[in-house]
Amino acid sequence: MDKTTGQLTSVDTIEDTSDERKERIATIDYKMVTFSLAGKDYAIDIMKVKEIAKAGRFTFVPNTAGFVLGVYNLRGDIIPIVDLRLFFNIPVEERKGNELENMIIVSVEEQTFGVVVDAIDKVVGIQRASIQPPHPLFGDINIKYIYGVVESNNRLYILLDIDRIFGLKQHTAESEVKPQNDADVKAPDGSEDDVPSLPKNLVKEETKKNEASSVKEQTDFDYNFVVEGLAGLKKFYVTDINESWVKSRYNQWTKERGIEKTQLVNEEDANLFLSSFFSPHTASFWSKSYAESMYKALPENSAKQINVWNPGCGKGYESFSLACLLKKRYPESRIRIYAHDIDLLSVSNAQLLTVPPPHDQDWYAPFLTSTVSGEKTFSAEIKEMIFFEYHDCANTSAMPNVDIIFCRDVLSLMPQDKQNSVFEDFEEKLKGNGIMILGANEILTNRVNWSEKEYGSVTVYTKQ
Amino acid sequence: MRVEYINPFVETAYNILVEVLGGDVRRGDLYLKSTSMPVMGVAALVGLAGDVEGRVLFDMSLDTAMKIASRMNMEELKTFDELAKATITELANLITAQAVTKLHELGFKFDLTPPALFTGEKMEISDHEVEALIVPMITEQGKIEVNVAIRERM
Repeated sequence: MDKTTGQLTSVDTIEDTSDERKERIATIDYKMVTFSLAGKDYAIDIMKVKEIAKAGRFTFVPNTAGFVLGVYNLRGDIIPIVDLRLFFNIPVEERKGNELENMIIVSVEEQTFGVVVDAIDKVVGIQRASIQPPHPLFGDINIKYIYGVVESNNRLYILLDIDRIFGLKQHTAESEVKPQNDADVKAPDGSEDDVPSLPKNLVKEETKKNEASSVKEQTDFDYNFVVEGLAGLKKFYVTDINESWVKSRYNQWTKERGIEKTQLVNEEDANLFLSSFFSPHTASFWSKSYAESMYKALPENSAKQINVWNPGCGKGYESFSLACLLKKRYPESRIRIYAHDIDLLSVSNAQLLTVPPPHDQDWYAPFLTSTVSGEKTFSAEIKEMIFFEYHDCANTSAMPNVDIIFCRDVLSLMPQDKQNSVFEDFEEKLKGNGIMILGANEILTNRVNWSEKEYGSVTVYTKQ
Repeated sequence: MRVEYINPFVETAYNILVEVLGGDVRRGDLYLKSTSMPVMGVAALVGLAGDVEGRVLFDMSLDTAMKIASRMNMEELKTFDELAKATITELANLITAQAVTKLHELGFKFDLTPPALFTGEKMEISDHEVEALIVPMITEQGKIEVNVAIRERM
């Protein structure tokens, strides 16, 4: 802005002679796209404008500032859409149905934005020198966002500073736009000193308080958004079984990502968020130490027949590991593992699981045989222990009563009502002396009649 | 539903339908259904008993049943008469019998009952505490749902 101020005097002096004016028009060195907002003319530097488009039906994004209309898919690029009228608190005509909006696509620092305006006019060429600085009396728009004023063909255009609107200073811009009227009433740039009625410290403290409460609200809001994101993207449902983990993970997540970026935008984010949720050795062979801690958690049981229910067995790593462990723990008993999953492909191939090195030398070794092709696979004795079934636990099942329920990270992937019905099934099917093992980050709270016992990293639940 | 049971039914349903109907036969995505389910119009049911118990249900609309019966008899049938009914029953028998034979080879021993045929509108089948595997088969004559519910004998 300083630059233009400097040029102001020179513009004034030149303007007197018409010859010089003609010459000036002839040497156009600045083009701008003009458009209107609430009947007034505005302009943006054409170098910032990528293209002009008509579009509508933007995808609403919750938890964004009011002036963000949503996102739009511009030939594969997802760009945020901002309504300039809302941004500047200019009244907007009510939208009708699917009417398309006039949109200027601008790019600021490699980021592309869509700007919705009333009507797009034309491209006007001017001389840079003719841009005049804004006058503090321009009321409609916060003066900070005005780069200057230009006259062309007897029309006055207000040239917007798009870098300021979307650029680095966006953050302060937002906070000042939000408390709508206050910001507008205030005189521009560093005018806080001019507010005489309140001592500065007091003002600061009050804003701090407001900030604190709004930050808390914001966090709750963001947290709920994360909860919804998990359900939507990963079918991970936050219920009392995993809520404490999700909350602590959320705190950690805010620290990692910063308060501004807590939203789970895509599946990748959701995966990252959940990366530390899953129990050790999910969908992989168990390490010796994990197998040992699990071994210690298994109670004495001299029954001839031991039934195990393993819902959500996936590709079978868990079921086979469990089978080997149980064989070791209860060598005298006949063991039967009912391994269920709703992924037909995974569960169909589970039976054919092979054990690659180095696991074949690990604690699995005594339970393996070699196939013709030299690969290691589980012995027939172990394979016969497991019934792999294509089964949805929410449906009725014809299971005998079981001694062990091994259900890691499965309940978290069910909506509350489904979870409740499955849990009822668990309660019904588990024998009096039976044990239940859940995922490493799943806890039974709010469930009466269950007591828990910890064996190292493994928590075992029993009926009371 | 044990995974071992699934393939024999899927394979035989496909093989037999291709053999008797010719033309284009496709298999839809398998899925699980809980207890009670509506029936499209014509249902042939074969019971299974032995090491396992359960039943296989072939469900199709009347229109599909007529077209299939006509195709299998090589003549245009006008009404869903004895011949048409016997044809659909036979189809159910063919598929189930071959699937059971395959399961026998895998070491599961059980017998099947003679097929029973049900026709009518707005029918619903509910069997207690059984989850059914649905194998949708799409033929040129229409869709046939092979509905398999088997469980271990306890």
